[in-house]
Amino acid sequence: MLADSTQLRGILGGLLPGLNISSTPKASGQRVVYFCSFDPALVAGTKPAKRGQWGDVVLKVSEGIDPTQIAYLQKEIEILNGFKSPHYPRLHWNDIFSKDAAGNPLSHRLFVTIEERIAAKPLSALTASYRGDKAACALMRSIVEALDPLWSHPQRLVHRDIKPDNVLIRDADGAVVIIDLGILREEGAIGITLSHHPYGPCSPPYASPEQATNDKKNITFKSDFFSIGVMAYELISGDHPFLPGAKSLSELFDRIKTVNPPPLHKVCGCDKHVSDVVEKMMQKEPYRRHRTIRQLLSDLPV
Amino acid sequence: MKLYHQCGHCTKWNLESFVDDGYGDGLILSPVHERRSNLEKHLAKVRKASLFDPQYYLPNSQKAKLHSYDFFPEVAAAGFSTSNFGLVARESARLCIEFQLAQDYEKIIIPARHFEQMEPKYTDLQDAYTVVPFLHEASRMKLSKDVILTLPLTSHMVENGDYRTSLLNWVTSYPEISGVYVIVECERNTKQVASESFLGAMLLMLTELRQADLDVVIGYTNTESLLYMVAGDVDITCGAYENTRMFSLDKFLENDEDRRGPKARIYLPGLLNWVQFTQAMDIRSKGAIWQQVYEETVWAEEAFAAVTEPYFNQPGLYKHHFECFSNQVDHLRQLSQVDRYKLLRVWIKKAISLNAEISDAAIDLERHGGGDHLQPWLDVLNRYYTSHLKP
Repeated sequence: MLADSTQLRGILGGLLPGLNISSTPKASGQRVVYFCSFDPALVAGTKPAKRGQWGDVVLKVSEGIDPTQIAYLQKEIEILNGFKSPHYPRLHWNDIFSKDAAGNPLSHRLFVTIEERIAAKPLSALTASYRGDKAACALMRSIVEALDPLWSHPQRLVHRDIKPDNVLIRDADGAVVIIDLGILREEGAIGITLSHHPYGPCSPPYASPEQATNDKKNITFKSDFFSIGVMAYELISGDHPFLPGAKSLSELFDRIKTVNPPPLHKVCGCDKHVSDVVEKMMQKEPYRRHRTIRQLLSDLPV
Repeated sequence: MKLYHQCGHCTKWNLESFVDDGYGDGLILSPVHERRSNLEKHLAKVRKASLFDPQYYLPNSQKAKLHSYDFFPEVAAAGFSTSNFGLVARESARLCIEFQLAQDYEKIIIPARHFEQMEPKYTDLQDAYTVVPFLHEASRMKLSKDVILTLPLTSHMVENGDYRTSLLNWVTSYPEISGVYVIVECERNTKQVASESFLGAMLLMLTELRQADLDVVIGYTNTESLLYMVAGDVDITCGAYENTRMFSLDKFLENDEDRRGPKARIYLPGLLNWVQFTQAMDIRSKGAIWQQVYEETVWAEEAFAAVTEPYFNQPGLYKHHFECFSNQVDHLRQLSQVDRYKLLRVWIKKAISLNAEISDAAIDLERHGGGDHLQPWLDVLNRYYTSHLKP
């Protein structure tokens, strides 16, 4: 597991002169995430040459991933840069390093991406602002609209990790920004995870039943619908629909696959139509969820 | 909901019934029975109301008429094989869509291959052969017409809950399509479908498809399609020859010249069945029963007035069927689902009682003309009402 360390910071500083790390929002795990900037006076003669003009950025570093995964991630970056959407951070640059600045081999390859840092807060820090069903529905609508270009892309992309930490609310205008597309998947693609894994890449509390069973064939945009439904349920009721009562990961997945949470209108007295929409988004079988993005949008109250 | 003529041999009869007599809402055209040059001659108003089924069911079929279409897999790939078709699948899709657009058919149909067994890779194979290539081309062409996906099934696929769920998840994963063209090969040794398990599963599947807001056209149906109307507004079909009322790959294999002429049958709406013409003559001699099972049409009256018994390849009795069946559909389609159930229940119970009266009158209808399918139909409908419609 990769972790923030003086050594890692030293390697990155050597490879990317001028690096000023201001904070570390994610210090360990599959990747380490830094908020940082580059001193324009120190970037001359090293790539990426324009980094001195980028201002505040997010630097993400992963290690040990294989070439297939890297190629896959590079493809995703290319796709995302093609969106030019205000709902996604602009990806400035990415590269892979197998040696440090002095030419010494690294114990593991490092894959580094640098993206725009948006002045925003994660939804997880703002849940109180969206507690009512009207506010929650307006937010869900914005999230669906933000994800539309991903789902409608010719390669039929799926985010697969929609959760409150990955939905940012921009400080300036309250617009939704979707982040962390690291496990983006193309529908119908063979994928880079092993099929015999009991569950696919996801954040378990927001995973759909098909992600919980690694049923790759059924992982589509409707899997993201499920995750949005879970967020809506949590926002409106104040309770997560599956976490209470789950003492382990396997129990959580069991609940996602088998438990139908009580309808929202009974739990918190919200509007029956809103309750029905959220219930439909969280149906266990994808075919019972909304069939199109348009249907979901038309079902979500304005 | 619409009633389409499922075309086969002698499309002329369907055309005449639709255009001249006004029965049905359009045609589903059949390239295995009609050369491209012929098909292109249909009137614009007919084409606009009709669907073209590209019939990729048996992609290496050697039927000559199919080979008049350059997009048919056997032609497009210069000899279809599972390994080489991928190379031309996009081109085949492009040509097929362009043909359907040029002819201005009502909707664009994405064809599919028919598997007679429970193929475990069903969806992967359909995706590879047609669905993905067609959707790519459709997206590139920015079609304004609705696109519907062919779903050729067997009764076993429909009855198996897990298989059915996987199919539903598959078809609903394509937001680009507006509907499905469902075709089911239902193995049986009777002319009418009488399997309660199959009909019950069909009603469930149709309900799920409609609830997913998919338009549904059910091809190659016989009288059982009236039952399907209880599941919602689904489009159904009527056909002349039997092979347009029950699906089989045989029509893509058989030699047309060798077909044996079956005995002529007449559709008797009061019995919800086709009865051998000679036995219908016997019932006709019992005036009171006849009035209740028969609906008078010019075509049937002509057949009864003829000196010789009608032959199976004459149009009259088929046109009689189109008229009677269309009238039955018209009665049902204006009703709510619950009222359709109630009316069908009345019709079926009446048909059961009429069959008993016919038997009491010393007429023993042969097995295909009898009423063995009726009690299963009633049971299926009652169960569906209880589980889905009852307030």
